[in-house]
Amino acid sequence: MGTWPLRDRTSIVGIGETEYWKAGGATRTEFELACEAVQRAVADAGLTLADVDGLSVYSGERSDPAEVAQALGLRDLRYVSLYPGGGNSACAVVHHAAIAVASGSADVVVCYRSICQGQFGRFGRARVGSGTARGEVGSSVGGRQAFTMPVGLMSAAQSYALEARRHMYEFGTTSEHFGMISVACYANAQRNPRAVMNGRPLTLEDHQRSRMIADPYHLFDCCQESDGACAVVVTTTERARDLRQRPVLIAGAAEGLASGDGGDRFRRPPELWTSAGLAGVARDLYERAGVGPADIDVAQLYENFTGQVLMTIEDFGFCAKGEGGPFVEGGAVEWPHGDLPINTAGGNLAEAYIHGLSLVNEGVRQLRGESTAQVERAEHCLVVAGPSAPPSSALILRRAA
Amino acid sequence: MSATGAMFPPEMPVPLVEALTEPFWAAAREGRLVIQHCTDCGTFRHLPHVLCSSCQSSAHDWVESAGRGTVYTYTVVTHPVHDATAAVVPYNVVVVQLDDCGGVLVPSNLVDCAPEDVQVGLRVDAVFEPVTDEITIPRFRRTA
Repeated sequence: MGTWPLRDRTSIVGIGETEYWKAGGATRTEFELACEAVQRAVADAGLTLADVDGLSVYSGERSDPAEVAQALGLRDLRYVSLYPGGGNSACAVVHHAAIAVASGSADVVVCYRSICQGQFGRFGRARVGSGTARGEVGSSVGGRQAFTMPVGLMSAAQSYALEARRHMYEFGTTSEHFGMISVACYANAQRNPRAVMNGRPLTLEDHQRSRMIADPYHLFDCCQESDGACAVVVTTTERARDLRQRPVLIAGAAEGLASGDGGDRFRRPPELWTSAGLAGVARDLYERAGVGPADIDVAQLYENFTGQVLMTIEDFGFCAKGEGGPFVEGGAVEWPHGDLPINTAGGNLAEAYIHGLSLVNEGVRQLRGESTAQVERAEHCLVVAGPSAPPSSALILRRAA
Repeated sequence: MSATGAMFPPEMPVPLVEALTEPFWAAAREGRLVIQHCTDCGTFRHLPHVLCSSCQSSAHDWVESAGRGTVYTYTVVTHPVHDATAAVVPYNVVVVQLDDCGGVLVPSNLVDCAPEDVQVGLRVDAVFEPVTDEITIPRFRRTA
């Protein structure tokens, strides 16, 4: 494969977000938040809504692109993309926006995610079919759920705990290792006024004492449930040079899933039980961006659960397979002194859970020099979408020269 | 061998018997654990699926497992997310790797095992718990 033709040819030129709330706290509808986030991102770029001709969103997005286009009065929508799934989409939507603008199928594409778990179903409750389980005698479940719900496997935390436990068994990883990831995210949130957990510092002792959700996962190993929305604006780097903000180059973008991975975690190859399933995405991403792990100055790594962050760190080559625990124990992920500060706005754990798109916003801030936990002279930021949630995706953002 | 006592209350969701999985539930009702097996390439698969991931054939039969295996991983659920589990936390969920049938991974539960005694590597045998007239769920018990 030759050099990836899109390397540095597209840029993120605007970011926007609403206020973030704990689930249930939003004072407006989810749809209004989606529109507000798009408007803010477009304004941040120094563009107008009339300039937007593409939308790239998660397939689970309830604020439908056609509704958003009409509400915002988009005049010439020429490109719409939906990526399957949830948090796995956080970087893929940007990838698809980049492809669209680089190919000329669109000029300005906005990616957005709105999520109000207080207005719709909470992810942390069991769902049977499309509804929330009320525990009525005789309720039945089909498909794969017929083999999971009746044995009590009913939430994401429970399923991801199975992988975390296997990692602990194979490599000696501990709950404290998982906790150190959470502590690093919470520390960064204390500097970020947007963060829902601002003003709520967390120690490793707090983490260890927090109630167990699904062993080995404690409460503070789990992402929050939030209300809010955010958006990013993508255009060509050529056009970006004339806009308001210093452009943030999309050096590389990659997505996909490992051989044998897919919707059914029980039919995956055994080695994927202790990985984020992202080793192939990492390989493609580094090759496309023309950099390696040693070039990454700061990373925004999607936390569904802390153990999956540790596996992401391994998949992206920051340490050897199985060495994620000792890696975080050495303080590597802590801002400002670690070699790989992560989730500098607080991440899904402590800023807000907007299905990971907020991590892209923070990556952009780092390369503009606008983070509240700024990494000095940051040139490259890695952003990784939902781990162990195939097909997933990742970006390497580069500071413009 | 049958299980002693119910793992979950009757409000727990019950598997829906579908065309693909009818042989699995029919066998479980008879106290047998069967695993789907591709009759073209011989690959076993679980959870059941219409296509073989190795050769894309839909041709399959169901092979009886001896029901012996090892706990590959587990969780102990403390925070209930469904009304039916509120009264039974903490409860375990185990993933058992069968000795036979290609070593497929089976999500299930360990009966008669205190939460603190669940471990990766435990040797286990299948037991069968009728939950309705139609449905019997294969669970596991530590090998004596």
